[in-house]
Amino acid sequence: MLNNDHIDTLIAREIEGEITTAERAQLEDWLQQDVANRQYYEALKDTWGLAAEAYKTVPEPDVEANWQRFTRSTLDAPAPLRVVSRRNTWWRLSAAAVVVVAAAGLAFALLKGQGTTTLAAGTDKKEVVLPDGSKVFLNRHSQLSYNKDFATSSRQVTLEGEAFFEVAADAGRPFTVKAGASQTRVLGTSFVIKAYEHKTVQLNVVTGKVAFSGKDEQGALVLTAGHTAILRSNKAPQQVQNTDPNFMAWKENRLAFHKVPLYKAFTAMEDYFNVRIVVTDSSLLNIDFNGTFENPGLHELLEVISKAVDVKVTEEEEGVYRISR
Amino acid sequence: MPENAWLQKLLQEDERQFMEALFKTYFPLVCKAIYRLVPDMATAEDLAQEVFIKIWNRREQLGEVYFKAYLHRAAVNMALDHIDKNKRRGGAPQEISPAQEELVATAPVVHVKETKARIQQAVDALPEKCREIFVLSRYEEMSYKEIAQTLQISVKTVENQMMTALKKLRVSLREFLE
Repeated sequence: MLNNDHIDTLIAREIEGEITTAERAQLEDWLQQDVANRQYYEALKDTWGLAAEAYKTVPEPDVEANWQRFTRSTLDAPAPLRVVSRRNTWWRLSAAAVVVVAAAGLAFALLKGQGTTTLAAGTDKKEVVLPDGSKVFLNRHSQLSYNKDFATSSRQVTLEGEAFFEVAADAGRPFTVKAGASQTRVLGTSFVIKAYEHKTVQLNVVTGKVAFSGKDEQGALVLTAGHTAILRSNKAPQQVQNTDPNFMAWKENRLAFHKVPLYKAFTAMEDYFNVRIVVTDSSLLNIDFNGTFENPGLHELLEVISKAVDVKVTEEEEGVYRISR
Repeated sequence: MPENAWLQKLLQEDERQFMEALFKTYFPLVCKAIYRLVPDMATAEDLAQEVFIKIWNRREQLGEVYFKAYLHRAAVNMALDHIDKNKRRGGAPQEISPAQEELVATAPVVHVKETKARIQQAVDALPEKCREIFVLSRYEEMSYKEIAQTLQISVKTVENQMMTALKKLRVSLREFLE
């Protein structure tokens, strides 16, 4: 007497087409024994046939759009890195164009001690290459540190301030960035983290994919290219709309304003040039402003604005500019 | 020239043109194979992108490859990896309860067009592992042996799960099986 499990196995093999002649004979015998056996067998075969109908209407992906995305993320990125911008000009500090770098002083410091390496950008932005080949672009007044066991089993760095990461692919050694209360586990990628003291930590994923979480990795948010998330202290990470088109301005040396109210343009400029812009007449704040500036200079840009919206710009003291009618 | 030979020739001559031809020929195949295992189009597209990024990074080692089969396999593995990672993060889709199964089975059929959708729902409602195995066998046309190797389980387990899937589907699709 054949048990049911064995019969099921025979039917499974018959469906796959891998049944042997001897097994087929056994199955035939069993089918002849009872009409109920035959019904059971037919029903399963019919189910198999019917299941072919599923997934016949799988949505068609937009191949052209996906090809464009692939081109941008992979083909047009300088190998082997995946970067957004093809221009790698951010560190080329054209003296005429970039006002802010004029500030003297120790621009960059490498501190070693207690087995910890600290890479710090002073008043200047910096590009550093980590022992594993990953590249980090540090914004001004930002610093990155890692222990001497970095890259032996895992790759862990701590960030204060703001940085753009191009992480070297290495699935065996996960790359984690601790910044403020956040942890970003990298799944092969480039992204920007902004983690200034006492401020919300913000993450922008430029290419690839990362897992973003608080100190406790539970509840990590997986983010892919083009997405942004924030972490407020003692809260769960939260995905948000990135409303700042200039989030990479400091790295790309480019400010872009498309019909933005002046107050937003001024905020971006304050960040970018490390200055303060004071506006006394609040009616000025909502005037729309347009323009894209490569390697912008502060004075040049202020002059463009003063002509475009007919305002007066005066330098009140070093690094403080007043805008008035 | 047969497609594969043509692609191989392009790969030798012009990497970029090769990539464009490969992508435009097989992106839908890759994306749909992933979608059948991970039924969310945005995720399927992301994962399909990753399949092609991997191919691009490995382009120097593709000399002997039969692209269609290679890409199909890469798509299946990418989807299974994704399911695994999700599970480890605790986001596993729960097994469907008998009550829900009943719901799938007894919802009234209105149009022929909906029949396909209902059959798909029934497959989607299978328990996780069972569904994976059924999809790989039925739609990805992999042999039990290939499935067993891919999932690192025994052929016997594959056979058992296949039968479990068919029996469950038989119940939830009984109205179409009269």
